[in-house]
Amino acid sequence: MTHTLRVYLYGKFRSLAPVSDATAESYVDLEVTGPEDIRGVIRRLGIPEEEVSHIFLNGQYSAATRKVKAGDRLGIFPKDMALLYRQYFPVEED
Amino acid sequence: MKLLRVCMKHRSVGFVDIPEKYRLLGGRALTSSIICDEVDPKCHPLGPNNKLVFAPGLVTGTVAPSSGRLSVGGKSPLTGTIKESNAGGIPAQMLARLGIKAIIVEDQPDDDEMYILKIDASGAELLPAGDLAGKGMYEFNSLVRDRYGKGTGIIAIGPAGEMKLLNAGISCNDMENGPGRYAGRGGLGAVMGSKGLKAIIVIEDEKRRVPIANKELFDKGRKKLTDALTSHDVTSNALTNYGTAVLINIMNEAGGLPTRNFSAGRFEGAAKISGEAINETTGKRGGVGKTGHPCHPGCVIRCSNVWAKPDGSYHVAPIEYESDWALGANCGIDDLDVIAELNYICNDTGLDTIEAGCTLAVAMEAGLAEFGDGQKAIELLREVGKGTPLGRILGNGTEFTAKAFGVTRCPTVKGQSMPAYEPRAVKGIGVTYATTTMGADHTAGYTIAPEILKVGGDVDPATTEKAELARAFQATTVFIDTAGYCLFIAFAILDIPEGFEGMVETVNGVLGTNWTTDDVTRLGLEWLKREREFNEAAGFTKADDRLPEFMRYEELPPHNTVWDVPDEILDAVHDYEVEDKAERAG
Repeated sequence: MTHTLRVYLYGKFRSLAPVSDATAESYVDLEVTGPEDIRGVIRRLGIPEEEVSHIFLNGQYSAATRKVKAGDRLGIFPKDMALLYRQYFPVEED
Repeated sequence: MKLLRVCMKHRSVGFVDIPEKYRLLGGRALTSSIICDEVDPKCHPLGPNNKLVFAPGLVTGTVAPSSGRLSVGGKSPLTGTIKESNAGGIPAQMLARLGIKAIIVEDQPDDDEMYILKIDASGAELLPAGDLAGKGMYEFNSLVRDRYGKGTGIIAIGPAGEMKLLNAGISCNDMENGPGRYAGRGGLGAVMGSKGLKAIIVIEDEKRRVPIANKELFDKGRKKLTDALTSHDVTSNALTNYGTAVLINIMNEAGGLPTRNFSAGRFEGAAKISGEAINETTGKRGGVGKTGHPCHPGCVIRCSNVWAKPDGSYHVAPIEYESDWALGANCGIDDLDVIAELNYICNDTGLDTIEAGCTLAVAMEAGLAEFGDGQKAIELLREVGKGTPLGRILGNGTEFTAKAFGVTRCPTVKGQSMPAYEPRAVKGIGVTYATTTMGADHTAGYTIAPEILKVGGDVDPATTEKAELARAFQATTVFIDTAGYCLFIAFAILDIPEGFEGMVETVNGVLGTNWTTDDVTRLGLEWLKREREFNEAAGFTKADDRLPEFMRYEELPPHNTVWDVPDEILDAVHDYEVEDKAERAG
């Protein structure tokens, strides 16, 4: 039974992961101990929220207010990698 | 400005005045209007009755930012529909400055000779291609530069076009004389080949300017648009820093990166072929490689790149998202040097990279190579240029190859392969693929998404507004293609109203019109409607506006979803009364 959430980090956020090579996957596993939203995870990683562009929770384009749980996959992109027509990606909220 | 008519049967050329009905058109609206007016929708695309039209955009050739696009139009041999495909590079701006609003190439020669259309300030003439016929694009461009001088504009086809293969594109040369800027989609290179036209060579021996009716207004608009492009995150950061391939990681995270012939939505090797990997490797290798490279002079977005070999020498330009994905993830290939080589072969042979990558993936599914076997993929793709029977099958594209080898997982709409967004994961783009006038195409603009419309008159209260927004997006796309701007300006102008106004003002400045932002929607829809009418006359019905059947029953991991958008929704996209119905219901 996993108790962790895996956060995939891109661009300049990679430096927060043990492997920060741009040609590999950069991620950190975070303990999930209680109810928490994506915003909380971003804060825990020390990333200013205004520097975040695209957020994907289990592959769904998501608002930072969505709740996370152990076993989830979260992907976080910095502002300077933003490249989606928002019309195609409606933001999922809880 | 003039129209240049070229008759390949009689080998004659002639400049004619612009008919009034075309005076305010350029780019896509002009190519499509001429095709609608002059081409029998039921004609064979490779026969004498099809025409091939080249048109710079309305503001192309001016100093408006990111506006150097060339539209190419005709009836597509790949899809059987009307087709407009556009490209950057240097020739479009040169044609516009030489006063050429469009080139209409018609009929075909009685012999099998290839010809070159040479255009300069003194006029135009058709010359025998001689020893330039049959050449791959890299050698061709190099020979043309040697003979006609540095900075010559080149619009040409490779061996694939000369063989009239359905996946043949039309190359425009970039600022370094590479052939990588393609009007690739829809097989228009085969139409050019069927007319015996190897190339159009543009020599700007006399500096002229595109006439601008209202310079003050044009400058005002240009500044507003430039400000929008240089301040918006997408057009000033992501595209410039990482190129379009920044989308590899994004779409992979979204579970919508088609992998191994559309059998999965995530690729385990995505990071290795990502925009970040391109950026980092390019920096490390040094040499001629670069990112933030403009595809034409005056582009402020600069999303192109030059990929260098490990020793720093030139390999290919550009590696774009669609090519990177098609020749990479979709074939299970995670090596950028292999992708670069496949891209190089496409550029040299004269093939669209999206169609070529989807074709290779289908071939892999058929057992001609293992997914991920880059060397075998290179061998297969080289067959096309050799004109072997296998090469001709592959050169005719994804659907042709799927039929030849009995593959049912064939990701095409109206015969054209899908680009790099999985419709089972991103339903909105599936609607676009199904309903564009061009076959599966990602550049057509957002249409009405399934979450907006419900079936059977049950209309969401917000439908009117959303349907209008969606339609405005599509219409704006057509307008951008008509103005000659790069489609990527859409990111900035849809978010920044002053940028949108600026775009319209540049067009008004050139034409002397008083169009408003509302006119953009009206005109865009008008032009779109004409394209649709051509397709209807060619025999297309709403039954053709469908995605391939396998997507309805094969679940796509990781979301494990199928394509479940009802046909009624797809049919509603072109129901131009949908807003009225919503109003009546509401």
